[in-house]
Amino acid sequence: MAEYTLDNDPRFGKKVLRVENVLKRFGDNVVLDHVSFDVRQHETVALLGPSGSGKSTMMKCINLLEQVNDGQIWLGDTDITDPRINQDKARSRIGVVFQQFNLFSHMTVLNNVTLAARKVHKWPREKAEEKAMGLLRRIGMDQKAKEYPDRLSGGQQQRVAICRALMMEPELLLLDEITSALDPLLVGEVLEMVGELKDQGATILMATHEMSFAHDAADRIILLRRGTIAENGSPDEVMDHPTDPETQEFFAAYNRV
Amino acid sequence: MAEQLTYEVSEIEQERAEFRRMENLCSHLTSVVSSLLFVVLVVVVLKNSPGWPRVKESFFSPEYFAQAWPKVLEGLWLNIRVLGVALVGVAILGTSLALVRMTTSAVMFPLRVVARFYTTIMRGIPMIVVLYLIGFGIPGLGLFGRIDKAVLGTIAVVMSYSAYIAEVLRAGFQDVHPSQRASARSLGLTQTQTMRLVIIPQGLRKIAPALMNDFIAMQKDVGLISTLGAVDAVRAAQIVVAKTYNFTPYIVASIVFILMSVPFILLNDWYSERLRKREQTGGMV
Ligand SMILES: Nc1ncnc2c1ncn2[C@@H]1O[C@H](COP(=O)(O)OP(=O)(O)O)[C@@H](O)[C@H]1O
Ligand SMILES: [Mg+2]
Repeated sequence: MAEYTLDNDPRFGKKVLRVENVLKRFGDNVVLDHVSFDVRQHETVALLGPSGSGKSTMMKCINLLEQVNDGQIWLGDTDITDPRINQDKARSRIGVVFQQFNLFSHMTVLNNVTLAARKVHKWPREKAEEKAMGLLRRIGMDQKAKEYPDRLSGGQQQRVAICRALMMEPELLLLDEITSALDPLLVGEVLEMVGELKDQGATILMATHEMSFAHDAADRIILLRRGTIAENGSPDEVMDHPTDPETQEFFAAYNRV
Repeated sequence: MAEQLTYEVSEIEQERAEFRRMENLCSHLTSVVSSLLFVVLVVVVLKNSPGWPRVKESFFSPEYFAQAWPKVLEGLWLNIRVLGVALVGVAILGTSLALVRMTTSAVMFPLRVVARFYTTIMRGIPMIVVLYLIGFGIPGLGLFGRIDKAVLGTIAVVMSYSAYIAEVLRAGFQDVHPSQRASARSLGLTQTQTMRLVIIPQGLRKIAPALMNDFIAMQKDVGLISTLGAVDAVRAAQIVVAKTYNFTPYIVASIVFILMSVPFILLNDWYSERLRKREQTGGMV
């Protein structure tokens, strides 16, 4: 039997996401320089790095909101960077939550959560609403189903946005700094929900600055630095026992604040 | 939701409330008195100006008022119909222009240039010139036989106002936060669905006051079709003026136009105020 590494950890299934040699630049600014990594089923991966290191750009490439300049991204067996595929279909296989302004302010919570089911997957309204209410009930938000987003706290808005992303049971959940715009008091409830999703077996790729959460919740830490992957390993390896001086400095800076 | 609280009002607060009430009363009184003074002043100046009796007779004559009223109202019905059709026309052409201008694909490049050119040129030409060009130019071509003056007028109004509306719409749509579009696309919505279900409804909300303003302006500009000879309210008034050499019919026409626009002006004020309040209280927490 082969020696244990994170890459053959039996807790995780097949590779859901494979990022292979992705290059992304804006003009002359190379933001992602031949980046490669995998995310396996049920795995929670935290994408860390200083501001401007390319975390959001990576997420947008995976979600096809940005086009890669080279390399491939595989979602299951589909090369989603292949221009011949149906991009809308590929997008709907991934759930995404951004830092803010996720919810559509002119729609109720319930309509937000059911939108994709009704309009993209052509579910009947009753079926969509039944499922959505189930999801909202699990986070204690079913009472707010008929409210408009501006009547919710920032934390509630983000949790509803997560519900909406989960509605069509995505193969992968992308969370891009979903607590960065929140009042510190509201961060906890959102992170708690992410923790629960992980426990239920969701596959998550998240960019975050919440270091202790990343340490406790993530199975794998990927540290981006100047467009390349500086570290890729377990929280214990990368955060607790880093060997690279620059990595040590990065985490030390967070511990000081 | 705020809970109903019952509490003792302290003496300090009572005293402050009393002071505010008094202050309020004083300022109301001041404004009433100053308004009255102003009215008196206007009346005195008018009454004492040497030409006042003549002006009064030629602009505010009750007989001519009664004579012109039914004719002007009849003409107004044409304005209302033209306005209704123009509204639909402007909505369609304006939205199309805005959407074309917002496209990014290479295929749309020629159309984008045309839309850009159109909105730039049209906003520069005075409405009355557009009316003349359409009203006398199209019949001059002799392609379509006889066209009703009101139809030509409507076309001119639509062409002119679409250019303004298109720019207002474009500003509104582009003002929607980029995350909203990204969220919509992430859910698997197509470009068109994203536009129709997310960007347009949200953009419209923000620019509703500006749009309504343009609608109010259009309401009175519809009166310009009289220059083509269509018998609308203004033209009907003009006809009476020509016969009687008295200008009261123009006052009648002004009154009907004012009456028509007041409800929309009030609606607009109400909506803008509501929007402002909402934006101040709502938003991210
Ligand atoms: N649309 C864009 N156009 C040009 N440059 C961009 C764009 N989006 C991001 N960038 C650049 O890419 C780099 C990485 O940004 P980003 O992915 O947002 O970093 P992070 O999310 O890690 O803070 C930054 O230097 C930023 O200026
Ligand atoms: Mg970012």
